[in-house]
Amino acid sequence: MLVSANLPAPVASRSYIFEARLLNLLRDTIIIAAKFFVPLWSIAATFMLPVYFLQDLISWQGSEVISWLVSPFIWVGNYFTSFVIAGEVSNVCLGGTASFWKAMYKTSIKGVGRLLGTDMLFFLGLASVMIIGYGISAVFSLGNVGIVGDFAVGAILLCLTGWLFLFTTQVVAIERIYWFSALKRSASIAWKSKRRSAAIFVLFLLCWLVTFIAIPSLISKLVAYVTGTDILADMISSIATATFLPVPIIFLTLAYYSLRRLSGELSVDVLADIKAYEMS
Amino acid sequence: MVELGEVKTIVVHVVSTLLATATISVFTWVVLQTRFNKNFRQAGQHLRIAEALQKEHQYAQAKEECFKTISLLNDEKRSVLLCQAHLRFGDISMSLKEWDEAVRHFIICKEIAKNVRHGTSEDVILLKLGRAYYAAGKPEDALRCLDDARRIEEAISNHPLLGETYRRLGEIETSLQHSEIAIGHYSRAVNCLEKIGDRWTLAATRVCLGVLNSKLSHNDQALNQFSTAREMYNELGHFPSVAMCDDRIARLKEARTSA
Repeated sequence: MLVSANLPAPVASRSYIFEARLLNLLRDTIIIAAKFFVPLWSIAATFMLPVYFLQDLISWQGSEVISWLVSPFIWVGNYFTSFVIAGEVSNVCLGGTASFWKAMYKTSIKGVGRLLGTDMLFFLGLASVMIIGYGISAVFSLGNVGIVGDFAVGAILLCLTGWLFLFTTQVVAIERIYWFSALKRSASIAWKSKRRSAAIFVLFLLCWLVTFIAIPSLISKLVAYVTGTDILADMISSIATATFLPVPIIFLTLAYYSLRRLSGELSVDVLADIKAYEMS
Repeated sequence: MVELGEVKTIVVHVVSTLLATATISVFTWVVLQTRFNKNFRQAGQHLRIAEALQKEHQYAQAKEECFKTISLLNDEKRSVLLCQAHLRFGDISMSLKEWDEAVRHFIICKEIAKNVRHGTSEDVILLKLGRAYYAAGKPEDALRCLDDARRIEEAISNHPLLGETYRRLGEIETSLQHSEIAIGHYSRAVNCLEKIGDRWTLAATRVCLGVLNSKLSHNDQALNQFSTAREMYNELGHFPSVAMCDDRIARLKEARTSA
């Protein structure tokens, strides 16, 4: 963090909102993640590493129950990270800069609280959809397909809601719309370009699985194998998780701008407004 | 003798305490840094109310809220929030057609932005200031501001506001009777706006290009621009503009046949 404070903020020599092809979005995700690694990693590390390490240490001590108590902090930390990184990446997309100190200045507890509240609504909606789905399945005896069938119903409903509310963080951080309006807005963005947004959802899931689960677990296993120390492996895995955490958020923010542009929603007035009031 | 297990427990407790302290410190620091200062918090609230009122077109009340924000931040001459408040005040003044007031606020905003770290982008302020100057009847000052904005934006490939800057430059050059230069700016604006996909602004720019070309008797180019604009307005469902384009096209065709 101190290193990032002394370094000049990297400047985007281009804007990243004009890509339409999904592969180019992935390419730009990698470019932004590499070019703005220091500020984005600093943000992720500030919010996530202390809680991750705390959980690692507690679970190392063998207190599994207490380690679960840290989960809400991880959840809140995750929201802070997503909210702040989405805002910074938005600025990068429009040809601006990403900076740790700028992000900290902009961070508002209220903003993150609203994102948290909005996502709680999303989870409530998700739970209702699941209950209704399983209810219908049970009433019409569609559920006699065993555990695989139940899992499939759950996965389909999960994907459907996940796909529709994919851009909630971006809507809250960039458009400053909250609660039901944010969920409605995210669903409207996804619904306007169904195929493209579904493809983005699949890519996001892949991106998330690779960067959030596969790479950290692999690193953790490798370190545990080499050193034979679980705590060290867990901590290095936590560092890897924090390192790759911005990647899915960058991808979604790029996709959000791409979808808005392709559906003709990005006027010069809207862009000027986002750029002008980025700090409020 | 202290056993190894005990040492491990002590170390874990110490490190856990340190990490818990770090976690709490980070969150507390964010609270202190951002919203602890009462004036800052209140100013932020007033500014958000101003934004909401501006969106509802209640400009007089929005202006009052901006005024409250600025009064609360009077002691902080290098605040990003103060810079944003002046920018908002300028925007509201523009909506109220109080051009001189808008110019004043945009100038203050520009001065504050120079002294703050990570303030509002200079090109955005210059673009707004240029528009305010032009509306206030000072095209030379407007041209200077927009030219500065253009230089900043051209340094960034595909800058999203470059199209708008070119369009405003074209508007000013048209008013100064520099039609050829204006056509150049408008053409560059069309290229930029096509990438963004802002069809309304694009159609309006094509109409401006059509008007300028017809003024210079470049009838074919004018016809081409009006036809494209007509198609766009038709797709957007704005039929008064379609009728206007039809009228222009008819007149150009008439002029061509009579020639």
